[in-house]
Amino acid sequence: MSEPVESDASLLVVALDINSSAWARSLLTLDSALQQTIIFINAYLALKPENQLVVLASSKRQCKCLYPPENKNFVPEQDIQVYEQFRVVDVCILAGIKEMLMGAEVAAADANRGIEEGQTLISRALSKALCHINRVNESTLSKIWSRILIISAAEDSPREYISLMNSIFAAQKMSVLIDICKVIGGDSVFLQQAADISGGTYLKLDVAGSESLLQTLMFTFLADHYTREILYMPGNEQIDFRATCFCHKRVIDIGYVCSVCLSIFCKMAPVCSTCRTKFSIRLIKPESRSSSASNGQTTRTNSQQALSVSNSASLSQGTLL
Amino acid sequence: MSSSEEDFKSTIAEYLEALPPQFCRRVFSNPAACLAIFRLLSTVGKQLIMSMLYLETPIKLHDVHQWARHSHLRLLKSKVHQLRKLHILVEEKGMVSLNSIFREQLRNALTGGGDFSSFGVPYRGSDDSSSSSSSRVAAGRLARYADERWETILHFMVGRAADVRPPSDSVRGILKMSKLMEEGADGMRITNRGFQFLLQDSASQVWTVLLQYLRLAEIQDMDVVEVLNFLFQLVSLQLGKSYSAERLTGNQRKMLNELRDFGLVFQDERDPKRFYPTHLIASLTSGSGSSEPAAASATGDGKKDSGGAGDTAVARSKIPGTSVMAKQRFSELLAPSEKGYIVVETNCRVYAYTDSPLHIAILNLFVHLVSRFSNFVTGVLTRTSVRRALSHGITADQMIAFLTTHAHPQMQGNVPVLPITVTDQIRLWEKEKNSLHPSPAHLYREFAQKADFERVFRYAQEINVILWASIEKRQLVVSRQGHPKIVEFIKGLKNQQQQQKQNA
Repeated sequence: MSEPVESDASLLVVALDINSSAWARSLLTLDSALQQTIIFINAYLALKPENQLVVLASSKRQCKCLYPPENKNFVPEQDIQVYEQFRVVDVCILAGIKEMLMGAEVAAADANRGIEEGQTLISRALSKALCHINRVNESTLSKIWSRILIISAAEDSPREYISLMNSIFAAQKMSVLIDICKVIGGDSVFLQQAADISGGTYLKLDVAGSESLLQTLMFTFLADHYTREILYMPGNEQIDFRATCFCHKRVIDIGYVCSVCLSIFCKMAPVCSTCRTKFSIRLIKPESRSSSASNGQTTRTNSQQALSVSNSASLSQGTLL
Repeated sequence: MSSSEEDFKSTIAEYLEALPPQFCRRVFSNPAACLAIFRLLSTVGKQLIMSMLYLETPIKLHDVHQWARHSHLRLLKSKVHQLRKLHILVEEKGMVSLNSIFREQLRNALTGGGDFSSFGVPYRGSDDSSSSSSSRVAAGRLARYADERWETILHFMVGRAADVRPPSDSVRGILKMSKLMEEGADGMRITNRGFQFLLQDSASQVWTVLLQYLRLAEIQDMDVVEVLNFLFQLVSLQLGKSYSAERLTGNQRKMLNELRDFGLVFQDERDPKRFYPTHLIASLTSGSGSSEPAAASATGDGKKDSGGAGDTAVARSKIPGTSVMAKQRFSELLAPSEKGYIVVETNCRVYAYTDSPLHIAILNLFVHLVSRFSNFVTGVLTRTSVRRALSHGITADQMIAFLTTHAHPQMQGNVPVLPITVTDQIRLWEKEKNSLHPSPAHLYREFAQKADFERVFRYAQEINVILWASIEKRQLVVSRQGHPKIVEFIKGLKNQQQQQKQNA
């Protein structure tokens, strides 16, 4: 992997969380957050004319690409106040979000089947972003450094854990940074991991305090790969590495790990639901394990552990890192 | 390539640095100018500005230095210094903040407030009611027009004036003023600077011309700020759109007319109320825009769909929307001259697929041309031909950059594009020529005592002015800059010795 140089262009994917029920709980309104995000996006476009941009919006039901617009010949009304390049982006984003919010209100009538109010489809936005980045990388010869910025409002949704983790590792492989700006609520376990694994920055904004979204965006998330090698980035030392179980989608501290496919379960099961491996009952039963071995001996869920018991399929219990 | 570009950018920056603060304040009062200046800065400089753009209170300079990783502190300090020289950053008692006018107007540029017409007033004609087809036709014509004008001037410079119409008086005036050409006995002659100019990419050339224009404006007692603001407005215009000339001031109209002679803007004679920026000026604030189209069109030539690297990037930068149409539209805009046509072999032979007298004339500057066919020229890079070019002040890097940018599509796949043997040979020839460096100096000799000599020698070493020294012969050669200091030092030494004698 080559080093970023100053003249390299970058590709930024901004994923906006527009979950209205999450924003309703915040001091910062969605409206003003949008305005500040758009200024940030304009600033990004001002940095280099070669810079490319993708804007995604994600609500609890759908994830849509707002920019570049689907309609290629989209030409907004003439307005001499604003720099041409900025205006097209701004108009696209605002129109797209308005449309999505209106649509959401209509759809709210049909039952929220299994959808929790305060959760957003972040994994969908991430995979869309990665697809777009991949397409751009394939179609251009010169190096483009890509990163994803998620402006997140909603809580973690455990049912997304698996797809989210897959996206994060894909991003790591493609050397795409994932930056997280958590605007509302508590820390997000999954997104912290996303930023940490991909080498991005995770910041939780204290809106109630004096911090402004715009200043944070400008200060931290505007820097491209090259600048990040020169300037310090605010980091997060304490990262919650907990995982969710595959069976009940709960965030757990201690669980069972399939020695074949490394799936995580909160409860014992005779058969792994992911790879269909049958576990030997002798090993599963707690009393069959020597009490001294399980006593206080914590094992890390890594591949070495899985290899050591590879011959007889077993379900090993240990503290998850 | 990049080095020459840096040069020219820094010269526009230098021009701004040299402006007195009150001028800067007036330049900053225009959002378009702020954005254009912002784009000319380095990446770290841009990040510094953006970090401070929405800070309401000044912060400690010390804190700003803390932003950099330790190994890059020096780089950050130099960028801070540059911003301060441009009057963008203001320091007061160890606290720094952005120039308030600059801050406000850059914010306006990002949010769309402020001066009404700073980004140009789009023309709203009756016949041009947002029909994209009409503007598309104009785009192709625009590119042809711009290249024709620009090449005419370059032609004129290389002295093939017989078959081209001489450019207008104002163009010749600028060429003369910038010392690219000089008045000789038999008309105008190209200078060494002119030769260097010819080998640069078009963006650097345009910057040179615009800078000259600024100097000319100073001489003619035009309002520099007005000229500067208009230039910055021009570089932020959109390619393929027409703008209204009605609201321009007298000086600005005059400028528009003169820039038209250079092919930087286009104006239809039947419709003088509107003007179009051409690709020459619209690509200025996109740093690599100048070099990329050539490379892109060369690589993306055969396979339009996948597109060249720069092709996509540049097309997107100018025409919003990342459609294939935009890409094609841009490749249409590319002048045929910007496609690569030169093949260089490892044995220093050069083949150029061109029939343009301009290209041939430029190649002739440093290639010994052997034979010429209807659309094809062959030549050899020889020691004599390269040395001749070097004596004109053209550097090896410029030659290599020229050959690289205009390399044939088949060469573009190679890494590096040119054979290493050839680039090395050109550099060796340059070194050979530059092996002797004359520099003004002062010789000190006949030191009476060894101790005296050693003290002077050590002092000269400390202030780093020694060019040559011999301890046995007690001789010392120092540079001209160091001379006064050494004289002072020796005087001080003598005084000391006299005092010691008196005391004794």
